[in-house]
Amino acid sequence: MKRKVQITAGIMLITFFVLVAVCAPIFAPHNPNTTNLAMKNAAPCMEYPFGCDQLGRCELSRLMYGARYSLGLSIPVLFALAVTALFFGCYSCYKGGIFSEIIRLLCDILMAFPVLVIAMALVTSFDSPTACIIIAISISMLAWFLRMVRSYAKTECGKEYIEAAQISGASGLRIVFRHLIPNVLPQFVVYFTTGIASVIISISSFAFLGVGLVQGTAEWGAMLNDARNSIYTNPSLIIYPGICLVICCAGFNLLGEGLRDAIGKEDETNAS
Amino acid sequence: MIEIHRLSCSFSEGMFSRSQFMAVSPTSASFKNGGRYAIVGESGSGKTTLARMIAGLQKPSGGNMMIDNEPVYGKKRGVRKCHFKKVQIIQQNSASALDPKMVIGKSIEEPLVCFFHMEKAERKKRCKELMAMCNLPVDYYARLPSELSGGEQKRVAIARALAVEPECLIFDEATNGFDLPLRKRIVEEIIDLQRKTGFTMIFITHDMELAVVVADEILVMKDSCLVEQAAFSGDTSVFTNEYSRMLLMASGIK
Repeated sequence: MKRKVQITAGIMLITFFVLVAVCAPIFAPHNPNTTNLAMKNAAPCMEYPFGCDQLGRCELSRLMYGARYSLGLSIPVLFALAVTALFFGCYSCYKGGIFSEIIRLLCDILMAFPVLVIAMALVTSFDSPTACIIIAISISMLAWFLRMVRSYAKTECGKEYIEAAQISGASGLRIVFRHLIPNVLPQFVVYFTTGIASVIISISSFAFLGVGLVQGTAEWGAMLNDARNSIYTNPSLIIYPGICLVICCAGFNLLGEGLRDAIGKEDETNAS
Repeated sequence: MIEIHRLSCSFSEGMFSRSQFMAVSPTSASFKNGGRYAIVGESGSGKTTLARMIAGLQKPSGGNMMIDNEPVYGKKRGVRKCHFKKVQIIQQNSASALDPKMVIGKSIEEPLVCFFHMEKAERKKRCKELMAMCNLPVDYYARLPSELSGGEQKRVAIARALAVEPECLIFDEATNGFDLPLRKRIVEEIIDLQRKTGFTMIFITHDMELAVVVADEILVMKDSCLVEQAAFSGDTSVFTNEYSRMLLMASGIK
């Protein structure tokens, strides 16, 4: 029952934020970048439901557009990473030998660098801030994803059904796609959903520190940074994006936790 | 005809240890087409390792193996698949030998895709024939292995192996963990299938009583060595080795 509530709550929160991000141009009351200095730090009113920021921009519109950065960057990038990690992780584990060792070594090297350090190093060499963020996230998350997939795949490779598939004449690729990936996927999905939450935080922390995104971008992390100056005059500016970040990450984490419990339960029933 | 000549297998006892553990000492034997053989021995005597080498799952440390006068080991790519086409093995634990996320039908169809490249409709038809042959209800096609009983899982594994139409089928402790009536039924079904399809049967077991029921020829293994190979037809005097006689005595066969 508990896990059902978790999963439903997670899905509802995620759907809400995805809808907000997709429909931002329709529902946002104002352009997020239009400044109206007369409305500087304005309190919430009918026209500006969440008030205005220090440059008189509509806070609600900025929050809605901010969801686009967090979700729009993290979900597609992580999807691509997950597919790559699933294939290479499973294939390297199945094949073993030098290929597997190289992948393992590569993961170990990449995992040695924190994502923020990679992003800072890349900022100097890339013109596009988005590309910089994407590459930094890819490098750090790919290593973690690969490592996770490989640990799951290693357990599966030791099971008899993989050997049975070999005897049935299945090729390496067939075993990976038909047997390994379907068996690794449920556990990996859990890791993937919680991974999205951590990437959303990473993107926001880049923006907060001013790494990558242009100053003034409507992004939750960047908004938090801008609001630091008005923490005493208008603290609500720091609260809104903070709440958005927490709730959005909570959505993905709830879904991940719920799925983890559900899968654990399923494994238990299978075993008994 | 399968011939093994001084086939042996040893495992290293650790990364830094030079000593080797001999799982199967050099063993020679031959298995005629259509024959029924049993390899009997206590736990750890090397029966399963020998079976795995015959099935092509374990690389031998020495010796050679011929199937229809063609050497099996030592050649390159593609040979392994040919080997599997000729020799199939039913693994000890059928529950873990079936992919938990793949429905029974697809599991049985796998060799049909990989060896015969059959079309979908043809494949499904053949799969249902195989299921009927192994006494599995046809509506089990879309079920997952976890929904089946142990005996049914074993039948699925047998159906999948038969799909390959192998010359030789190895049953590794096929009746382990089953109660007596089920054990009897499975053995009867296996013998019946063997009569119908005529494959060479190699039955691995630690139970001499079972071995004398299923096999015409019995190979006795002890401490990684093949101690005796004898054709058995009811007369226990064919067994000359002391250990074989002890196994017979222990099973109450006179």
